Amino acid sequence: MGIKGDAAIVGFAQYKPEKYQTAPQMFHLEQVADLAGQALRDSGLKASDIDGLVINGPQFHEASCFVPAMAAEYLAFGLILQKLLIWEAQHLSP
Amino acid sequence: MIWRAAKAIEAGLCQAVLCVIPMRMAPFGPEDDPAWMMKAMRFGGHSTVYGAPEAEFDLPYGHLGQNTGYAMIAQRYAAMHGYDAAAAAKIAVDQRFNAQANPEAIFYGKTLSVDEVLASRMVADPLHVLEIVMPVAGGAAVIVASKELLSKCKNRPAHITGFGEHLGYKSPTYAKDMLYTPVGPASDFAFKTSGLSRSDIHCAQIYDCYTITVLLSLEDAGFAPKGEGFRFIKEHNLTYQGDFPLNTHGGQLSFGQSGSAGGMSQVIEAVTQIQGRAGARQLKKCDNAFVTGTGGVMSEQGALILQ
Repeated sequence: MGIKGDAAIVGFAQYKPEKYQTAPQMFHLEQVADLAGQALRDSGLKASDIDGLVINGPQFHEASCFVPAMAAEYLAFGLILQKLLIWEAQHLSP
Repeated sequence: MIWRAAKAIEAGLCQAVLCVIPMRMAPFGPEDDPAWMMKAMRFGGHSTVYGAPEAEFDLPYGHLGQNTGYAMIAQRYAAMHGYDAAAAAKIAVDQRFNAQANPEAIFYGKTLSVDEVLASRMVADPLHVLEIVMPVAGGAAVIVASKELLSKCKNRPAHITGFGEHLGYKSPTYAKDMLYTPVGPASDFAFKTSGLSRSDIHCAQIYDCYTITVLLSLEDAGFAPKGEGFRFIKEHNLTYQGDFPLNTHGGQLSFGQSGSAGGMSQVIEAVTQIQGRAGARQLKKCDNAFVTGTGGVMSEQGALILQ
């Protein structure tokens, strides 16, 4: 029921907040890849270390369903890994 | 998101999880209607489709979206415990002070006073516009890794030692008591799982879509008794220089709310403080951080303890 506390946050990436009118526009798949790359560099891990994905389901531009599968496909995670784990999380960030 | 990743790792399902929320706008296609987003935002998180409970029982009576819902909760608080508008404004002001030490914040370089908050436009009584988050474009990613991978990582790890999540309702219309929010059970579970007590916490990164959200979260998470949140706010310096550092990045009120990625700013700030990478706003001691997240109108909420 509880948590052992073994797992840890080891890296992150965050776009600088900008006004919508002047912020760069990017496809959501592009942002996923860009943020993933930045977070990996911050952590010191390699892309091949990643074998799980948690991503927002709604409000995703390029798909209204099968969002995790599409993002995993774009990141080529599915080609590398056998045990990809996917959850769709909604508004709740932590 | 984060605790799901941590639990999956502990269960042996995976070793490193990417949690990612892209929230910049995508380019419009030739057939796209640029007004789509404004239309979608008009009713906040409320569903307007035929058959939706809010469409039948909330929207026709003026409960149009987030602003009115949070204002209703604040009005209820005022009726039960009294309302201190200047203390509510102090939440936004102390957080704005923190943002002056964070060049990433949207309101970096713009100071704020209690008088300015109280003189700002009233959006939904008692919430002034400067007590409401500013929507921004952004996005965030976090990587959660197993203990086996930690030796390969560059930075100090922020262990997920406590978590909780509670969903009670979507519209506060259906809350048993609007003043006892899901942050309560979520936080109790987080403290129970971590084994820490409230006094062990070195910084609180509290989801702050509105000032009233912070007030109720501080009470329901157990940092202040019910009904005494305003007194707590007045008695404590909530800045990174103070005795109760709160939303040290400026909070979403001053950092900006990048849609669903907004709450991730609180997680990332807790990690930044634990890792000692917060620059001018770095706390002298930050080993234990408490984080909350909120969705809907205080309807789905989560808590994390990071160490």
